[in-house]
Amino acid sequence: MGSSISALLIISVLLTSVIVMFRSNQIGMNLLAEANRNAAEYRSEKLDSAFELSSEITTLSSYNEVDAQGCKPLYTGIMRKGQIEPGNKWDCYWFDGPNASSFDIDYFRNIVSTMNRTSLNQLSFDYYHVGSPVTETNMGPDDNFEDVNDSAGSISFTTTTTSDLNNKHHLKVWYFGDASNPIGTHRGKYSITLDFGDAVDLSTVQCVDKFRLKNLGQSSFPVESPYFLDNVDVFVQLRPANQPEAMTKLTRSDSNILGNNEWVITLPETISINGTQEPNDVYEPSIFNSSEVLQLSTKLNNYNQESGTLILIWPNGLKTTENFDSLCNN
Amino acid sequence: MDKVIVTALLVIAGVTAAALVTTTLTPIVGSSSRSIVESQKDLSVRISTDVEIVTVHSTNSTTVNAWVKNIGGANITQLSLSDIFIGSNDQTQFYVLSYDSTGNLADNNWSTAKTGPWTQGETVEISIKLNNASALIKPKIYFLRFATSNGIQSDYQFKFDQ
Repeated sequence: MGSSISALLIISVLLTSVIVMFRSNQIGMNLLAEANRNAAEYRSEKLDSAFELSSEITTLSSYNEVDAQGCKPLYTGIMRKGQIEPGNKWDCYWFDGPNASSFDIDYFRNIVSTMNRTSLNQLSFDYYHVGSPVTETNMGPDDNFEDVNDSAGSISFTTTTTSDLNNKHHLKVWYFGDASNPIGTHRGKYSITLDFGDAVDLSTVQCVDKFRLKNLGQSSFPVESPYFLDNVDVFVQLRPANQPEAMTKLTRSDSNILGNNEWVITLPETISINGTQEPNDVYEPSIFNSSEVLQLSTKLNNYNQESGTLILIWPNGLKTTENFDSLCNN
Repeated sequence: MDKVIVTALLVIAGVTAAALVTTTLTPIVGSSSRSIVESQKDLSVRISTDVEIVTVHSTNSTTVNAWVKNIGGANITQLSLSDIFIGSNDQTQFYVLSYDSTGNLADNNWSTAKTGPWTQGETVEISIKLNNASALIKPKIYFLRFATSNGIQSDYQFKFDQ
């Protein structure tokens, strides 16, 4: 009887041991399974994530400001576009240059598309030296003009004065036959590029207003959730001339009005693509779905139009970068 | 009478033997089960741990800043036990850096302002000070390796060009 009791006790202890071991192993396996699941989710999210970071470049207001004669600046290497038509009989531009120097105007006109023209293809380019007024009807002094009929070409002039800070050379684009026509005629669109000395640094006339992040992957992200945004990192690396590079980690702003060294992300309902407003965050509002575009704005402290790189790191560690020549730093 | 005595002795012997087995097995089973759970817990934390050096910037030849992001599914404790190495790609320079808790960064040491657990998604800045003998040389390419205390590591390659 004693051996039976002891056998029963020992068997029960052994069974309990087996159960305890089994249970502990189960707990451990659950922990491992959970970790594996999380790791797999993270890996798959990272694999399914792909972004394209680009920049929205805008022209500085100074580029579109007109001088006392109503003319806009024309910089070497930077194309200007316009259209001569009833209601806009002439366009006028100013530029700098020394005396007795030859300069070219490279032009391109869309003649294949008639744009309400009949056979009126001729366009006139008149050069006005420093001090010579430009009006709607007057022609360039000293017979410094060219009439063109071709769709593309290059015309040459020679300056007869030297420009300075307040006195500039001018170029008028028009049709001289419209001098006495109060309405003007359709002459179509044109683009011109000044070729006169060194090209102008683009950063003096253009800047990056915002960055755009397009979701090229299959994953979606709650980009308006502070919990999510807290894990997004934005760095700006600046490359000032003749000085060491500087790296700044920006902080997230809750407001669209940025303070110094801050960034903010917005997911607009519509977004401008090639000048057309197109739907953007329509499906699942506030969720950054595939093919949608985020706008990222930044503001830097003590920024002096240096070129640099914006580095955006997503919470899953995915990194995208975009170089820029100059930030508008709104 | 003899039978009763024998039976009683056998019962006492059986119960004693069972008690001995129980007292011997229970702690063994307990510690075994604990070690199973602990080892698998450690393994699960290791699986969930992941870090990435997001960017590295050197302001001069002896000062390097690195930003490291916790991209795993677990919080990271004991950041001070992490290991950081800097080496040149041409294998002529290699430095093992030590953690500096004082805040006065000594040569060939690293420090961080981060205290407490390093939460998921958080990015911490690591400041590194090299001595003049181990200064970065322009325009070499270097790598920085960061390894957590449980052995998860991330590498970043950067060019010293200041």
